[in-house]
Amino acid sequence: MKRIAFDPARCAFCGACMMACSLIKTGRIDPSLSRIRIETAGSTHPLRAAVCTHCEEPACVTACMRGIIDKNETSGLVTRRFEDCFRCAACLVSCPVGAVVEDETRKAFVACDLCLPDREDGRDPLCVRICPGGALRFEEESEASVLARNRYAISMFTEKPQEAQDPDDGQWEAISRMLAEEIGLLADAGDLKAHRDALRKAAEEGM
Amino acid sequence: MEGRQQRILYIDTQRCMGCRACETVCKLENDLPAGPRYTMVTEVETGSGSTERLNFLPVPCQHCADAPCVKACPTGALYKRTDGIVLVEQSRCIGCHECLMACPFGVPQFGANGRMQKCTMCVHRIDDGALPACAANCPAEAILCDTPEQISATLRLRYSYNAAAYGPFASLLRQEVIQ
Repeated sequence: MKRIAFDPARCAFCGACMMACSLIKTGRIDPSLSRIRIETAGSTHPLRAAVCTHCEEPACVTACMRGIIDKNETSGLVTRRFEDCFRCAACLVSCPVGAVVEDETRKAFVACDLCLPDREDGRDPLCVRICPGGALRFEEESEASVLARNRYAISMFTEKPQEAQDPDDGQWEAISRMLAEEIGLLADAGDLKAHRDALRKAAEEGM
Repeated sequence: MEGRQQRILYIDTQRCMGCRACETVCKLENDLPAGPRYTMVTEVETGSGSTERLNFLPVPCQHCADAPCVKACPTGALYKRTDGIVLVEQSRCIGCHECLMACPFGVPQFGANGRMQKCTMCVHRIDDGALPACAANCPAEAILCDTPEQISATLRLRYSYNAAAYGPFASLLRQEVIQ
């Protein structure tokens, strides 16, 4: 099945994915509610993306005391009926990826559902479509492996790897327009940049 | 097991000609269906005009000394044998893909059962005292499997043969052309 893959070399830690995710899921920009989180370990240098990987044998499914988390055998998706969640945090502590988030607006522990409604139209999840640097991809694990191998081979034969580019004003405008189209919520490019700066400051202080 | 030294797979990129014998023989040896590839030959184009060149690099598991995949594995399914070979215990794997995200070389593979599988440096052949299938079957002898000391000795020998045939800096000059 397709999953969200992350390439830290192309991520400039602009936070667009986290803003878009919290907007589409909760209706407000709050990166702490985002189902995808870029982890940095005390700097603004991105290390990995914490997002549900829809494990083959998910620890959260066995951990959940209410039995509201299911692994769909045909699609491979891990889904949850979070209306019944009583917030025991068993899934949060058992998740090996750190993908579970407590969502105050829904009063439940939630994780990435790969933007299911979008995928019925054949589109990629919103965070993947919005990522200005192409650091997030929605792909099969074999494609991710081929890409990583090619990236390594290119670094062997050519001199410099590419630096991740911070999105410029035009790209922020595009992100803002895309959010307005998708969610119908007008997020000004300046506001988005302010959120990015806050995110970076929090990351540097070690969250 | 004490005293058994870390073996590595070394790729001599000056020799690889991209025939993909290693890929083919790896699939046969490990009985792999379509999908998982324990090794894969990558192609990189460099230079332009008279310096244009197509480079090949097979990418098997590097069996890192301080393997990021072993550190990333939350269930301890990945482990390092005393002789340095990184292996996976599939029954303990939960298919979380953390190893794939941690590996800088894109080595972890996932078959139909969703569990991680990877290059084993043909551990069954190593235990019988034979070379891994890719190293044994490379027609250009571009894949070497040995201890780092032994590989260094082989490479020095190759360099000295080149130097005797084409002059002392022949292989270095060619390296410049590659870059």
